[in-house]
Parts: sequence; C-alpha cells; structure tokens
Amino acid sequence: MKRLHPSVKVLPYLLVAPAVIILTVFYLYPILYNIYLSFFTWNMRGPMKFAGLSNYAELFSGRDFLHTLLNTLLYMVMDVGLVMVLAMGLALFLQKNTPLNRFIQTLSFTPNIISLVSVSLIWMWLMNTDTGLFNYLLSVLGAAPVGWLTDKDVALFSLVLVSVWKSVGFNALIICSALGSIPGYLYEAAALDNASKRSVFFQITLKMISPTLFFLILMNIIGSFQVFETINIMTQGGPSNATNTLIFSIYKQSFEYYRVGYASAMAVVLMGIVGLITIFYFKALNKRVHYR
Amino acid sequence: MRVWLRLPGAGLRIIVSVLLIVIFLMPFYWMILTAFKTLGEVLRMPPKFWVDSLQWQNFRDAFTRINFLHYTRNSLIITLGTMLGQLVVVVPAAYAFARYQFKGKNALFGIVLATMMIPGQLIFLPIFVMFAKSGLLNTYVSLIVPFIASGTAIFMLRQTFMQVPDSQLEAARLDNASEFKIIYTIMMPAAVPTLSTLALLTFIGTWNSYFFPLVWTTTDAVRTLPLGIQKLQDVEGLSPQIVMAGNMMLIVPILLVFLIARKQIIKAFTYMGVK
Amino acid sequence: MSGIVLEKVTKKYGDKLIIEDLNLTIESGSFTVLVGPSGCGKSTTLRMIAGLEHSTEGSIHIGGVSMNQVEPGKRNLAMVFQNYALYPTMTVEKNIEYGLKNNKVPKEERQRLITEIAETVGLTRHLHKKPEFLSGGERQRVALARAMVKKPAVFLMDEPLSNLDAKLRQQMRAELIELHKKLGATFVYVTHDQVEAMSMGTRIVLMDGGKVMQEDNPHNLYYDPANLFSSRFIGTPPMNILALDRCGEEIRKLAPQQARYLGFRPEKAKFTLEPGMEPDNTVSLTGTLSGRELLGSEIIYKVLLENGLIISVKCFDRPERELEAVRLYVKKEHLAFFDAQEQRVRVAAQSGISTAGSIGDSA
Repeated sequence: MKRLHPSVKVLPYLLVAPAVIILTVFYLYPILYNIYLSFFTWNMRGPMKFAGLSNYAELFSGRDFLHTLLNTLLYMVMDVGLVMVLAMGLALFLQKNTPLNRFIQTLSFTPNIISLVSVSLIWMWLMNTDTGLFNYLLSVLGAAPVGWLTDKDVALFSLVLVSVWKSVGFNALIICSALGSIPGYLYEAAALDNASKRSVFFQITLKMISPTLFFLILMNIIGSFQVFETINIMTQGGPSNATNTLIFSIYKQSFEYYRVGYASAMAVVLMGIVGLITIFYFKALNKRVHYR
Repeated sequence: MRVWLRLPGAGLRIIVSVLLIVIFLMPFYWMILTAFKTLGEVLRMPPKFWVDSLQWQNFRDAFTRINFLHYTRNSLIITLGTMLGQLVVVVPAAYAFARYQFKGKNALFGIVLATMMIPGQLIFLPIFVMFAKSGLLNTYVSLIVPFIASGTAIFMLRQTFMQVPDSQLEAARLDNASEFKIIYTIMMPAAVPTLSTLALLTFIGTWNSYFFPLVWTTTDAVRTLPLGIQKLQDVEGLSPQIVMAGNMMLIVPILLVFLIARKQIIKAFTYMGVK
Repeated sequence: MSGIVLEKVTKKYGDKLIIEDLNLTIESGSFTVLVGPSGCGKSTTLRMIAGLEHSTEGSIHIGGVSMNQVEPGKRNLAMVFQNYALYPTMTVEKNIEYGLKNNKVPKEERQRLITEIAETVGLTRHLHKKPEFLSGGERQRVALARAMVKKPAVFLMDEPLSNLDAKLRQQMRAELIELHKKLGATFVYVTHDQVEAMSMGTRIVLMDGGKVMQEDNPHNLYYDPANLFSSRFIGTPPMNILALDRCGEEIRKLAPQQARYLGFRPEKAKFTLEPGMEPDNTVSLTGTLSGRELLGSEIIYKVLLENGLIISVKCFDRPERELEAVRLYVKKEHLAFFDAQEQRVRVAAQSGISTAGSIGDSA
C-alpha cells in the first residue's frame, strides 16, 4: 500500500473529504449552532439578542415544557413496552419456518416500509369518531364509541397503537433472526441437563438474544422521542395538548411562534436525554459479555 | 426453541394466525375499499365491506385536487438525486476507510459513527436557519445534500470493501491500474449486493420522507408527494374516498418495489437491525 | 445395569434413510466406540441414544428400560458435544451447576459437587470465568465436568477431541481411558478416527452407510476383519487387497472357491523368510519397490507387483532398501479371503488370521 502511488498520501483525504465535509456541515456544526442559538432570543427576522440561560430557565419553570416532556416519556414507555412485548410474542409465534408463518412475517413487516403519512391517514380514517371502522366494530359489540383522537385520555394511546402497528413486524423480524442464530446444540445440551421449558426460555433463549433486545430497546426509545408525523397529521398535538411531544413542540415553537432560542433550548435538552440514554446503553453493553 | 414452544394445539395457532392476518391486512383493505367507494357509501353506517361498482374517478379527483404531478416529480428528483449523490460520496469514502491507512483516519471515521447516533430530527432548526441565511430554502439541494453522506451507508459499504481480498488489489496495482480504476473494476462489482441494498433503503426512506421536506421548505416548490397527500387531506378531509385514493397512489410504488425485491428488502432491514 | 440395547432401529429424514434396521447391544461398563466415515450414521445413533433424535422405527433400551417415551434429561446419561455446547452466557460454575439445579439437587450438595469436580478436572481457578475466556482444552474440561458432575450411568461423547490440537488430544485420550476405569460407567464414544477408536475402545462398532459393518474388540477388528470395508478402514496403511484373478496359481489354489479377493496386512509381508516361515507355510510375490516413506521407527514401502497392482509393506528393518526388484513372503495363515459381496470367506479350520504381533505397532 505504501510505496505504490505518489498521490497515495493525499488520495485518501480526497476520497473521504466530501462525506466528512457534508457530515460536519449537516451534523456536527448544527449541533454546536443549536447550542449557540439556545442562548439567544430571536424570531428569525429581527436581531438576535443574547439571553444567557433564560430560555432554559423558562423551560423548567413553565408547565408547558414539563407537560410535553411527560407526554413524551409516557408515549415512550407505552410504545417501547408494547412493541417489545408484542414483537417478542410475534417472533416466538413465527419461529417455525412454514409458508403461513413466512406470509405473516412479510405481511407484518409491510407497514414498516410504508410512509408514516400513509399510515397516519389510514388510521385517522379508521379511528374517525363518527364514521370510522373501529367505532362501528365497537358498536357491533355493543360498546360505546371511543374518541380515539378526540378524547384527551385516549389520543396518546391511539398514537402508540399506530406506532406499534407500524413497527412491531420489523422488531419481530430482528428478534426472529436473533432467535434463529442461537445454536441448536445449546437447546440439546439443556435438554440433556433436564431443563424445564421455562428455564430454557429464561436461561438460554432470553439471555442469548439479550444483546439484540437491548439494541432494539435503544432504537425504539430514540425513535419514540422523535415521534412527529402521526401527531402532526392525526392530532396536531391536541386535544388540549394531550399529544404534544418534544419534537412536535420544537416544531411548533419554531414555525408557529418563531421562538428560535426557546425551541433550540428544548432541542438541547432532548439531545442531552438521548445522549445520556445512548451512553448508558454502551456502558451497560460493555459490562455484559460479548458472547462467542 | 423448537423444544420450548410447542404451542397448545393447532387450533389456537390457526386462530392467532387469522387474527394477525386481519390486524395487518385490514387497514390496507379498508384504504383500498374506501378509495373505490362513493361518498355516500363512505359515510354510510353500518359500512359496507365490499363495493358494487369501482369509483375510479376518486383517483382522478385526487390527481387534480392537488398538483399531483408536481409533487411526484419533486419526489422522483429528490429520491434519484439522493441515490446518485450517495453513490458519488459514499463509495469513495467507504473505500478509503476500508483500504487506506492515513493520519486521522480513526477520528474521521469517528465522525461518521457519531452521526449514526444523532437523530437528525433534533437539529432541523439550526439547519433551517443555515438554509435560510444562505438562500437555499425551497431548493432541491437542501433536500438532497444533507442525506448523501449517510453514515449507515458508509459503514455498511466499508464492511463490504474490507472483505475484498488484498491479493486482488495487489494484482491490480501490479497491473498498474489507477486507484479509480481499482474502485470501478474491482471494488464496485464486489459491492453490488450492498449497493443495491443501500439503493433500496435510500429509495424507501427518501420516497417516504415527510419531516425534512416539511420543515426545510416554506413553499410548495420542492415539496414531495407525502406532503402533497397531506395537503389532499387538508383540502378534501371530508371526502375520505379521495384521500384514500391519493394515499394509494403514494403507497403503490413502494409496494411494487417491495413485491419485486421482498427478500432483499427484508434482508437489508434485518442487517440494519443487527449491525 | 446400564447396558444399551438398540433393536431394529431405523432412522429416516424424509425419504432419506440414515440408519437401517440397526441392532446393537452396548454392554454395561464398556467403552464402546462408534467409528466410521462421515455420514455413516454413528452420530445419529448416538443422538438417538441421547434422545435428541427419535428413531423412525425400533426401540432403544437403557438398563433394561425402554427409552422411547423418555425425555433426554431423564435418561440418566450425559453427553459431551464436539463443540462442547457450553452455555456462553453462564460462568463455568453455572455451566456445571445447571443440570444439578434442574435435577433439584440441594444447594449445599451442588456446591460440594462442583468444588469436587473442579478439583478433579483442574478448573478451580476458572470457575467464575465465562467459556469465551477459556482455551480449547479448558472448555473441553468444562464439558467433561458438566457431564461427570451428574454422575450418569452412561456417557455419550460425540467426537469430543476433534477440536483439540494433536498433543492435547493425545493427553485427553489417556485421561478419558483413565476416567472410564475410575467411573465404571458405560461410555459410548463417536469418532471418525480409527486410531482414536483402536486406542480407546474396549469394544468397537464399525459403521458404514447406516449399517454395522463389524462389531468386535480392537484386536479382532484388526486381525480378523469381517469384510473388505473393515480391512480397509482400520490400519495405516490399510490392508493390502488383491483381486484374486490377477494373482498367480500358487495363491489361487489356496483360496476357497467363492473367494474373489485376497488381503494381508502390510506388516505381514516380509522381504526374507524369517524364523518360523517355511516355503510350505508361506506364499511369495515378486515386484519392484517403487516408493519409500520413512516414519521414524518404521518404513513403508510401495511395491509394484508383477501383476500391476501396488501394495504397501511396513517393516522395521534398517537400513532402508534400495528401490529395486524384490521378493515378498507372507505366511499363509496371515491371508484373508473375501467373496464377491466383499464378505470374508474363511478357509476351513481357519478361525482367524494368526494374531501374532500387537496392535500398538500397527495402529
């Protein structure tokens, strides 16, 4: 590699330059710029006014932000919990490689490649209070109609349902592939060790796929912090702010109220949360073994 | 697992299977059904689970109520532009990271990895301000360039390049092939499966993209089809049959690609999930 | 009390016949080796004894009890896998403990047994490590300890030494023989390596194509092969086999009527008439030395016979011979004959080939 070409010394830098420049301009610099903006008051038109930590002070003193943060956490817990449990169940159910199972696997994966706009529109129509299919089916069962997207106690959960429907198949697919990569001889050794089904599941299966599960949980947590499309299309953050989450709130503050500094401060806090979770994940991962 | 999960009887299995099929198929079915109904049928309670005559004009309505062609063209331009841009930017970078030793390589690759950890949605605002200041708002460039240096793509392609045996490269160098010739005659063919996987992922991701075209534009000039369909909902929200017809036209290209390359797409997503 | 009996056992995967009508009795306390080329059904047989595979037809009894409905974990046996199959998420201690725990052994008892077994196999230092941090030999010991700690009546081993390097393999071989003597349990050992089989087994079951080709002790298997397959599979180099119709009159008239092939071990061919060899109890062959391989104490010559066949001759003489024309002598009692179906044909009054010499030289 060393002696062959006179231009070799500069060449690698030339090759990586476009990518590194773009990533710097569109990832690294904006992060710093975002932090910078969070110390100012600015409405995108007039002059920028240095505001120190006042944006942050406002965040944590007002109830709006805390309410939004709480919504986001609630959404995350429901979403990640449901997705993981259902995906695990689905993956176990689809273990056996039969034509029917392959069909269900593909079918359950399909929502994952469809635009969230499409998914939102379909579910919005299904969840329509007066003419939606869901409330009709409820009425057939003799139940009262539910304000899926209009009842402030239900709306957030409705959005979770949409998210679960979209991503459970993908998560099940990953878990399936992890289950499939557990060597069969471990189950044989366990059978010879007279292990009960319960013990095999908890001591072998679950432990072997735990790195995959942790990874998926991290991905789903980060994903759930970014929920935006369903909210913007289906509820606009309502009713009475019940579905107002962080990204949506940042969006609103930026383009509806033109409060760039305040929105930036919110983004910084969210970045901090995501960063902490990621660091925690890698710490936890390091403590666990790398199975071979 | 075979040992653990001998489910309680075939009967339960069949019931659960049917339930799963209904859960995942029904929303699609309902969309298609609605798209072919008349407004009267749509609003009728109890709803009909079948239609007697197909209302094709719903599609024509969807097509004309919004400037469908305009949005489609934007989507195509941005999708193809992103795919081409990635090819030009990602391939050389992945090659260099895979095949050269150079000062600062680890730090630079660290930047690539770090960007995979940062959700882009968190930093839309500073980038919006950058675009606004540089006059790039409402241009194709603003919706293409930020996505052509995908960290995931560089990472995946680097893995592929690293698996090409050294002897092949050495042979080419002894034949006095230039570096670019090496990339295009030896590395690229070896990377075809990865490249097509990346192309599929980029196509799906860009075609479906909604957030960035929304927040980085202020006019309809370069907005994409998902935004167009949302606009359809805004103007025709009281006519679900038209919205669903438009929605179908947004989904069909993706479904076609999925039908053609189902196995490859599933493999690509599996790879993303376990890398 | 822990003999194993397989009766009319057949195993099919779909239409593919793996084991056909296998009858086999493994005596309690024996060290039985199932040996044969890959795909011969030896591993499948072992796995059926373990209960990891179900026989398509037939029955398997252990200690006189039918095992057909008994789960693997309840058969009072332990198995050592080729790749050890250690649980990667558990420490060495937990690996050993897992089976005891499942069998509801009380905690203090478990602790005592683990300490004891770790001492025995020399793992005490490694008890709290995970398998990935152990060397191949140490993993092997964990696998053994995991099997031994259950004190099973039957030990099943599926090529347990094949992942070790040659030196360690040699050492483990000796240790396993020692272990068998100490425990007195029934060992069933699968290998494709005939040297391993000959040096470890008290009883050898030679298999091919899902059938038992020969079942005997190592000595008889070597000196008294029941068919061409046995004669060729056992021994390095294998028995010399000559088609009778290409041999001279002198030999042909010795052969029984239905015989088609003649065989003799390479070390039974001599370059001179040695003590005890008379012209009337030997046959002779002429040929040319065409190759020579020096293997330390012994030399293996390739001999191109006049009839165009090539045979091997193993001898311990010094110095090495020049590659020239030679005459070879083989005692008549060392000749074995086989019929067209490749089965042994015994000469009247010949119960076995004379068994002078030891296996150690030859294996």
